Amino acid sequence: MARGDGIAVAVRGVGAVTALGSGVEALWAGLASGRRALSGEPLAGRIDRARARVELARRASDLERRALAPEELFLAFAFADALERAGLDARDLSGERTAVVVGTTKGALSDCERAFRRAAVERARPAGPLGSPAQFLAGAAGARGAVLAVSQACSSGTAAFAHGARLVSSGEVDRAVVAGVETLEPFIEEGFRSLRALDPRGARPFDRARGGLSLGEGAAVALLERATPGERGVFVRGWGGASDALHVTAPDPAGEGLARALRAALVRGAVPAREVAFVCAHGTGTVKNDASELKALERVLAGGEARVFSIKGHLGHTLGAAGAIDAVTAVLALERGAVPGTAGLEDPEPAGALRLPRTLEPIAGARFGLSANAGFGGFCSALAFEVVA
Amino acid sequence: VRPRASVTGFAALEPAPDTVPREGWRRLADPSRAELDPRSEDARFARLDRAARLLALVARRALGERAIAGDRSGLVLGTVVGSLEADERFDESRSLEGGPSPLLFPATLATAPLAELSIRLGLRGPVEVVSAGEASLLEAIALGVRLVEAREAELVLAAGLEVAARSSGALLGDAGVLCESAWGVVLESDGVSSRSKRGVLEVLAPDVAGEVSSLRSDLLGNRAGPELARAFAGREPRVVAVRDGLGFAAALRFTPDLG
Repeated sequence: MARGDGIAVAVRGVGAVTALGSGVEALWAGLASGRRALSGEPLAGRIDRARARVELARRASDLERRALAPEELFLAFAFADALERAGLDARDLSGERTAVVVGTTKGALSDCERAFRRAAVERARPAGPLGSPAQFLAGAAGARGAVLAVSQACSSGTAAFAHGARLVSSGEVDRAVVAGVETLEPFIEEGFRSLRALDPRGARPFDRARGGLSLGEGAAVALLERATPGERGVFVRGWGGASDALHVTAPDPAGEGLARALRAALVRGAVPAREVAFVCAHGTGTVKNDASELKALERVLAGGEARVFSIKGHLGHTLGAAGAIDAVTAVLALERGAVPGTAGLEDPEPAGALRLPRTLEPIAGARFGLSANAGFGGFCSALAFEVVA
Repeated sequence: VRPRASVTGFAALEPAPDTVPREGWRRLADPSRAELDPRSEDARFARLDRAARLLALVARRALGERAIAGDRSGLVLGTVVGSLEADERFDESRSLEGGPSPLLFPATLATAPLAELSIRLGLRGPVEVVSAGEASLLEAIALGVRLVEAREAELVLAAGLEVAARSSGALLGDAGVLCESAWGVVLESDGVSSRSKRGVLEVLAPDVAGEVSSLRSDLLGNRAGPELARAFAGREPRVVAVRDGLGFAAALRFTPDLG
């Protein structure tokens, strides 16, 4: 079962909360139907708080008795969703052999905004803006292994997945709770508006007429665990990171950094490029990102006919959460034998042998899928998954 | 056989002992253009914010004159406050008549100083920020060690950086007077280069870390910095570990190379 170096890493459960709804079933239903949920309506008011608190309430801590910050609510719900799907209780994860890795770009931003104005912050955040969500999730899981936040701009969630897989694969821990989370505060909306990066028609990834991104918020959580012999299901096979070292915001037009990250993931997982069935791509809908990304994918996956799709036309760009939500989508695609199309895509960019589906397509018999993300600064990460039926 | 991670460079920036606190922080001196790169005009210097300049300076001190550009060279930064100071500057610009500054927004990413440094040094390997409370510096170094051991990189510059921000008191709670600092460790796969090799670092399970009672919690994520400096200067193997009161912990063992 083991491919490449190290211990095989099984994906035991995934959870999510996005603009498409609460839970991975709502995520998949929305992706499969091609629904576009780009209104930017805050998620916090739509989450089933009672369900989010189920797991927290089981723990002997004060977590359940205080108000949750928006990013904590997202994580709590996605964590409960992942546990439920894995058939686990949070108590199963307690202890020194469990790590927690959370990807985010702004973390506890709502409380930071209050602090900027010297307004009262309801609860001090001694772990700082980035570390606070990781501290919260570690408390919810009772994890006492490595606990950390990872920030890598818009590939933060991917890097968090990669680090969790790295820790399990090396034998440092038996399991890792990995996550990505981001809340959409006015701070972020105004920033992207100042960059003129938003498409008023909504993101149209990989479309010739694309005009920018749509913002979103949410979280995804996955439980990664040391695989058992003969186990079936989805496995994290490889991961890779690289950077362009070229520009503080724009991607390398040739996609060199992303191509290196993708190749590293394939090599680590011993995954043949021509057997990759799909890529859940970064696909933000900006002119530069999508062009750069397609160049990288065409080069790395030459000889194959992988389907390439982006979910940002469905649920917006969730920044530090995006890589985790994309990774969870890749897991769901392998489990369900289908890939969603790219919502908003009408006139696809030329992409060589790559296929850019607009609607749901079956991928019966597929073994390997990738997810990949790139962020400001030219930082790129990629993940390779395999389903064993 | 897994490669080991050797320490081949180290530097620390701390305020002078008589530095008077301002807005709750003892601050580092602002780096000059000549300190960052005495050989050139350094056209990028003017666009660097303070965090990027401090990171570039500690990198230069740790690396000396060495060129480390390449696809196998990575960069990891540990921090608690992250981009809080840059966030404040962007936030202030939001009330301007013309709207917020598009020039300031990219700096609100904690990775922004790394973007500048990766461009400056040509680092095209893995680059990321980690945050793990008072274990942040150790966790950044631990990630660098893991990247080398797993052959994901051959050289990693692992750093810790805490930069003064006015809102830190309100956000972090009553943390008293805090201290800016920057720490940099150069890690290399053994066999790549033995130049200036100080010894080998290994990651230990965090449960070896006991609660640290040192008085330097003012260093935030860089709390282990002084212990690390003592380990690198010593002639005996030494464990450097931090467990803070928030659930973050990390531990490393340094074995000096006495050959």
